[in-house]
Amino acid sequence: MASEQEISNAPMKKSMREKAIERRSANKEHNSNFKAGYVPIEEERLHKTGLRGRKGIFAIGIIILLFLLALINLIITLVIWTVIRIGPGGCESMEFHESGLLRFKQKADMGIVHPLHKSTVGGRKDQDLVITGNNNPVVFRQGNTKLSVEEDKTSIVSDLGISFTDPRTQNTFFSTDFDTHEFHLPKEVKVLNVKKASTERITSNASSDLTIKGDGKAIIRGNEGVYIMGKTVEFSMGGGIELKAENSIILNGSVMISPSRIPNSSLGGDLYFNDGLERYKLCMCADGTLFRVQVKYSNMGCQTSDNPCGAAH
Amino acid sequence: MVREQYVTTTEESGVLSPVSEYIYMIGIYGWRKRCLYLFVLLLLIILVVNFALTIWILRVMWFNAEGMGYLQVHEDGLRLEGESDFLFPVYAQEIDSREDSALLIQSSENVTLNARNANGDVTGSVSVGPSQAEGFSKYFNISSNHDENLFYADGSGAIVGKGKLRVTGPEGALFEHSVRTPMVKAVLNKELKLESPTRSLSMDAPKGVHVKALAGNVDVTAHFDILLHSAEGLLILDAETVRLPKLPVGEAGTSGDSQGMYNMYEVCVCPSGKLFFSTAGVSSTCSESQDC
Repeated sequence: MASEQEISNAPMKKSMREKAIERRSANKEHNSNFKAGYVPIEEERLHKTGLRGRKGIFAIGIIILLFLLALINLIITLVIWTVIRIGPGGCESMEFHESGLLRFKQKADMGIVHPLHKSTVGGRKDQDLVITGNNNPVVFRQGNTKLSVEEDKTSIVSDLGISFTDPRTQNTFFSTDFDTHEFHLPKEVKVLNVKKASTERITSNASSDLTIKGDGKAIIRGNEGVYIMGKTVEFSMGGGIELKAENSIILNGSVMISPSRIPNSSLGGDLYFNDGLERYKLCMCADGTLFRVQVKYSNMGCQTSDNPCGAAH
Repeated sequence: MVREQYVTTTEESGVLSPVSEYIYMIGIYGWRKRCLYLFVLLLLIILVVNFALTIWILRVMWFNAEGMGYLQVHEDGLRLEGESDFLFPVYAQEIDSREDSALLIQSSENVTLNARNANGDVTGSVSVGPSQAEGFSKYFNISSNHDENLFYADGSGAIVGKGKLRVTGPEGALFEHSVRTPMVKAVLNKELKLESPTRSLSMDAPKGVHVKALAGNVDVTAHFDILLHSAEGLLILDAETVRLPKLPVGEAGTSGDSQGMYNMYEVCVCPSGKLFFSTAGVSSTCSESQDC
């Protein structure tokens, strides 16, 4: 009872001046570096100041927590550095310039690229732009029209093919649209292989022969007539020559028959007429028409009783 | 003064006094405690902001173990899956396809390749349009892998380097004027036809025309006449047999029919093979006039 009264009396008895003196004394003790942490234990004052007990454990826990968070943040930052390969000069693969330029310093493998600014992909100045398909074709395509550069060929697939125009003269000098552009026969063509050729004249030059050759049959046909003219016209063949005409066959010139191959009956020595053989004598009209008369006796002439010259034509 | 001394004496006499004194001597008090609190608070704020910024970077850039989003960063460069838009022009020195797919450049409008000079002017271009491909250049050249010129065309003409041109269309080739060539030859094992469907066909050679068929016949067929005309020289029939199967037939007569004698002749042959004729008579008259 007495101690309780004493305790309750003590605060009430202290005056403002005493309290200020007491607080100043405490601060003076704390400010002194030589006595820091080593102060007399006074429960009243220590109750209001100091970091001890659970507070200390909390403080240490909070500091450890901050340390762990900082460590995690450092790890994340290092991971970011590693993943995008940031080096001393910046990113290993990409550079961002002030002008907005993004430069890829190494190989950039992109799936589908859409250049939105005028849909333009350009090369660098004073350098070629090389477009390469590795083991695969390069295809330029618009709708059904395709220009593809492949391993063994370059092909263009379109409705009309391709045409080339000189930009200075605006002349189309080559086009596969053969309906509207004539394809002139190129130079240096030694062999022209066609199924059909339409022309009004086939000629050789002044210093060479013209040879017309066929492995099988050669057909020369003119529905209004065939005319063969030359210094000499010579027919030579393994088989026979057959001249077939609806009207006449006219041999206009001196006519010779090779005597060395035509059979010659006078060589046999048989001078007597043989009734068993049917033979004819070759005779001619005044206009040149040939006719035959059957030989009936030796040394027979061409005079006939009926006149076939009038019946001809 | 007396009460204070009493209280102090009471505490010192207790067992807890030394233990409390030992522990409490290492506490942090006063302004040091407040500075420590402030430092911890500052560190906490900085750490939270830093962490937030880092997480923000990760999310905004879609970071993952290999890169950012679909962008993968490898030792030798980048790999970007999916589609990528470029708001400004794309400049490159080389464009390659991947190993497993073709390089496709396509557009809903024309696909145009331009070549520019140092001034930026277009000197040549190839354009793949809706119905055809067009080229704008001074000349058009096709070479083989061995640098052989296969085809060349410019404003003044075209050259085919391999020397052989094949036209596969069924209509063949149409020449408006002359064709000049030393050889006209049929395709192997096919027949060759020289045909003039509505007009005449003329073969004219100053030095001579030679028609040769080594293993076959020559068959000349005409609707009207066949005329073999020789102005200066001879008509030579050199064969083992000369046959005239459709000659009209005359009947042998007697000397009484002298009125018809003067318009008929007998065909005779000289020893050289030359044909000549003499006036017809009842008997052979070849020996009367020797024109050989």
